Amino acid sequence: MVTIQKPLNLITYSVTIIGAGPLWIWLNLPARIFLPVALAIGFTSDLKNSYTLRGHSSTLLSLAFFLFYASQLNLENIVQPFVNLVVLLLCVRLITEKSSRNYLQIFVLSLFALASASMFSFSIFFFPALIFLVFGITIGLVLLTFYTKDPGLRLPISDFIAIVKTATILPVVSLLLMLLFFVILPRTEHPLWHFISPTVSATAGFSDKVQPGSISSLAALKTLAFRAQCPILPRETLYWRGTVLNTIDSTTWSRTDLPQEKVIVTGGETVQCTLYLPTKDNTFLFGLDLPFSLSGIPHRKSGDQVFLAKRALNKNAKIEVTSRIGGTLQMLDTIDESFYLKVPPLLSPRLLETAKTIRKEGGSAKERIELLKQFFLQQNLTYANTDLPGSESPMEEFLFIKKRGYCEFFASSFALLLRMADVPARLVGGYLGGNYNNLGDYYQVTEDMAHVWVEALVDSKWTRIDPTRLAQNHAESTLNQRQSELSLLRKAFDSIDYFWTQAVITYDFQKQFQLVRNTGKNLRSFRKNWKITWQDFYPLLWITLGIFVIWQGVRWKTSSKEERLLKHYYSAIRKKYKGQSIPENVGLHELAIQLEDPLCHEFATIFGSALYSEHKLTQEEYMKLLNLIYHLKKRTTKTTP
Amino acid sequence: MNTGNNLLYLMVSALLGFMSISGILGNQNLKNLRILLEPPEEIYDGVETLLTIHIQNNRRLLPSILLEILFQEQCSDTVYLLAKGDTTKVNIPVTFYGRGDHSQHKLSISSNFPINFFIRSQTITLEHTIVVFPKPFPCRSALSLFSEKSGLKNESAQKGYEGDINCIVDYQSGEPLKMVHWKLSARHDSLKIKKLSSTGAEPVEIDPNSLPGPSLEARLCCASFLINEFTRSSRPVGLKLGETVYPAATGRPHKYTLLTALAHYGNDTKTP
Repeated sequence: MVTIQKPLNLITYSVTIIGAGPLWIWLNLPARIFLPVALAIGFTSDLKNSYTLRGHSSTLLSLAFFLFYASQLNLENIVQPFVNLVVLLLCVRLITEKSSRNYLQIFVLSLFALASASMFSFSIFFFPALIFLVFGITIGLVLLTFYTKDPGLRLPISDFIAIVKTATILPVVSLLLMLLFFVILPRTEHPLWHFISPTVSATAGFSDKVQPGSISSLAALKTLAFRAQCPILPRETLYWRGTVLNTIDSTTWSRTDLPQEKVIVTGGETVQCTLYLPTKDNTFLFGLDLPFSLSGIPHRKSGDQVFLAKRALNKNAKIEVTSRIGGTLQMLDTIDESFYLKVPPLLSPRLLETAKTIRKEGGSAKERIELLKQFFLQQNLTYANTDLPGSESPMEEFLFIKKRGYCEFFASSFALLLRMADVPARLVGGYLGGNYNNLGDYYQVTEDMAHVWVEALVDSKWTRIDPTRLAQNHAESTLNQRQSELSLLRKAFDSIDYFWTQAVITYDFQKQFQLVRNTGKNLRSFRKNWKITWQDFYPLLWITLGIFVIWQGVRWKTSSKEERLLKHYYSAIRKKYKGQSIPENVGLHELAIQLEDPLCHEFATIFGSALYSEHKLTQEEYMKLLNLIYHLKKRTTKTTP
Repeated sequence: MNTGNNLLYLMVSALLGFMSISGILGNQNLKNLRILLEPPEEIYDGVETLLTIHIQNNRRLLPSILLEILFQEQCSDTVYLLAKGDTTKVNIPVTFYGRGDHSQHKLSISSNFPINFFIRSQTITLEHTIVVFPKPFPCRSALSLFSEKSGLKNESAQKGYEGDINCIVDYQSGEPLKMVHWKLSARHDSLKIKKLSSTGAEPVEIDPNSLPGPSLEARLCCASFLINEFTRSSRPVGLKLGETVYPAATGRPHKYTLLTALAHYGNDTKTP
């Protein structure tokens, strides 16, 4: 026997953990402590059937929590108090005696908790959590209905299993309908509760400032920067342009307003990429170097081919970028070169000396760049993320003392020396590389791929130079491994996450509209081009086959054992006595007499006795009848020439 | 872009899906149920009795869950699970008012499956003739009148199983074996049985019109009481209803015949 309250409790605790679990990292300390404590107290109280908190005291505690967090509410801080309150109310309900109403409240609060988690994260983990919650809550509600009828109800295990089996129809069909409703529900153009969303946490990796020497070591962050759907490209072309840093102040490169520049992108191979950008705290939009047009969200374009979103990217975005790989950024007018030649006032003698030598030896910008490259190679610089030069004079320390650093050191010192050698230069920030996921046909770019390179103005054309390639260990450095093969597991997980973003996170009114339009269009074109090949029928064939199999399954399930047996029997004798007519309305005994077959007589006797005494066939009788049918079929095979 | 809403939309879609399927499942839970009434043998006007109701689940795939039958505002015990093809029975205390035939019965079958937010119910009208006998009214004066007319335990010429041997006759099929006269049968070629006299009291014939009571209904109630009393004491009882006469006899089937005649006397079929 199963006491209905036990599985109900089990479901209640599971639903609480799954509902409130995703909120854990955003909870305050009191809620973090109280949640596991409440689970433990609630569980033991249920086992002992003795509760410390009852009726009014639990209401008072809930009220106290409500007042405390309500007092913390303000327009800038809505979410934190809200989620903490939800979790604490859930905790109170867990430790109190559980009436039907309390169980219901736990289910609702768990659902609220999971819904609140969507204010913090769009992670795919929401989906399995939602599936579990739908299963748990719906089956829990059915058990709760029994519990309401009789709290002490005990049911035989077989009955309990039958009830759970029937109740499982609810979550299964609910989830199938969820997919349908999700697609067709009317969408609003404005987020429903983003006004209460917290600000997105700052992302590490890509930055709108380059300040070599500010940190002693660089940690590689594997968080997703964006995904890009584009054709497979050579590794050396995967430069994702984000920003241009045109001003150096002491040791920090930053971006200031540009002088008016007219440029044109020439040459190169045109490539179309679709980028899926997660939420960010900046407005930089990325594109394969050199990007020349972008669509998808409102943006501003600068003369240095930097695209900035007009609004903060506080939600996932999809952009279409057209780039020219190997293209050149040609200046149409003469520009104020002095803007790109500005250097900080206090420079080390060694840097001045190096720049002077290059300026003297190189007659043109091209020659000076080559000379500087030679200088970098001579210095035997190493690409490294640890034991980095300090902040006082990082570039001098990098080039002459430590001789180790990451891309920011290489690029900023290269650009600075170019400027000192009278070659206009600037830094370009973005990403280098990408893991190609052939399961989803896209590049996955992570924050550890953030990169800085240099653009130098040579003959009115901005030329890309990547000084990091001049590191002596470039071939084996992590930078060079940035287009690596992901493990199958990571690839599969990232593909799922990608499709989740594609299908769910970015599904909006526009996609909904497109879906309706495409369906109509396909239908019209199907009517117009009524040329059907066999291949067109394959999907239809599979669907028909699927329906047939399901229909047969249902028929098999709905017919009784006796009906199925009789069907097999008739089929066997029809095969055996092909020449004779076997009418269905003739009794079994009559048929046996007509056929003069002892096997049929035996079948009629066993089946008839069950039929006329209105009892179901025993297992022994059933096996005997099956055996008779088998022998009838066997003889058929033997007699068939 | 509308990303902020979509997880919420997903949750709302799941809830909508749940609402839809719970409605369908709740509706289907009451479908294909066969309800049969099994009334007790004796039902008296205005007297509470226990009505048995059989519920058969004729659904081919699913069980019916949490069923309750409501009849005359009385609710049955809950049937927690009725597997496909199975039958169960529930009892409901009911009271029928008005003697005669009650042939149409409205009952409702309800369930709060799958969730306790809604209770679904279905009203069924069943065609089943239930004869409601007049309520026995203890009319002691009439009873004593009949007792005075004849003492109890008088032997009668009628066939019985307890009195003296009246005669010996040949065995006929259906006779109880205890009546076989083995000694005589041994002497003859055929089985012989003893015919005993009845030890019952003097038969009585009840004419409701001659019974005390202010109205026909009161007199019928008195007659109902007397029939019950005489049957209980194994006294043959007959009935005279106008021109129709029911000869005196004993036994439960005879009692029901007389009570049925009383129920139908001077009245058309009644429906509740």
